[in-house]
Amino acid sequence: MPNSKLIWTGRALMLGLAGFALYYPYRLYLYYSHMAFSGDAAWQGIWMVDDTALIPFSWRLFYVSLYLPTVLATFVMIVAAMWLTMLLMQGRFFEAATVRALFVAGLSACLAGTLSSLAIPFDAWLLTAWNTDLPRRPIQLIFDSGEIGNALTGMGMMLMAYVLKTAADKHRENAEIV
Amino acid sequence: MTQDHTPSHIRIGATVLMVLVSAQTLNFGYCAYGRAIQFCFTEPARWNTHWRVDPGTMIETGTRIGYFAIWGFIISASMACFLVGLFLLNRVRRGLVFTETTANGIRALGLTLGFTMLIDQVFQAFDPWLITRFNAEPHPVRWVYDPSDIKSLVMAAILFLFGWVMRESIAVERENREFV
Repeated sequence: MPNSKLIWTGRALMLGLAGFALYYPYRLYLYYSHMAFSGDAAWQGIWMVDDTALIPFSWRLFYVSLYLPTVLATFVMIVAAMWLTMLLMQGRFFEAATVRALFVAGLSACLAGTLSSLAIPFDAWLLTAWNTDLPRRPIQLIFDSGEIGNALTGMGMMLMAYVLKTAADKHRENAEIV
Repeated sequence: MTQDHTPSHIRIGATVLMVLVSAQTLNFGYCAYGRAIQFCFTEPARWNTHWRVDPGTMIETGTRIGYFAIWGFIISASMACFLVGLFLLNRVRRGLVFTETTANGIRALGLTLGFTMLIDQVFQAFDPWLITRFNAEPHPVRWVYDPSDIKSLVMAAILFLFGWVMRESIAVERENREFV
């Protein structure tokens, strides 16, 4: 049975994760609904976009949809993190459910980081495609080191899940022998 | 799982990931430090002509040094996270997986990553104010929502808790083995 310090730490983390699970979709809704449905003014307020640029609705929707896969992957990651925290608080380390939760958290983190990194080079190009006065920016080979770090950490967590799976199988065999 | 019994595909996976992380560590260090040095010292016009800065504004050397010191600290903390990650991957590659050192290493990675992301979040609130400090109307200090940092914080929390439980489980396993 896990000690009380671990349980209280787990509860504090669950609270933080639950808060982010609510705040993240709220912020996304604010930003993406603003970018997609608030007309040209939402885009014209961005510093690299012309004050008079007219952005077709289909283009605005396309811009928003570019980030949807990242959003979904991040949300799955948050839910998997909460699930894993709950299992660890119960002391369920060498169990199949823990392996699954860790793997899903790692996979979704890796996907979120990778998909975001793939979308970023297109961001400035999409925003400035309808400029007439300010320069139109090309598709640039730029990376967010934070997202790449997230992708690599996700890969590390998937590797940890695979190691844990092997150990969990051995743990079960030993328990049966005992 | 003893050193000799770690499956070879886990060791290969760890090796491949070590190569990727090493490449990113070098790339990140070179680019991040380089950008900070250019912005603060070697290409001072970048700051003077920043889109947030009023035209013709002169930036004091003390402010440049302070800005570089803060960013340098955050970049160094990020590099420390990468190095701890490499240390852990090396242990997996060598088959030293279920040991207290590895468990403590995972906890340390969670703590380092969490600390780095927290100070990054704090400094991002001050960053626009520092850049525009010499404007007629400096940008206010305001929290900036960065989902990338918060995602990293989530993973730091998972790693910290996982390393903690792993250490406790290793201790219990050792007691059971001695009992048997």
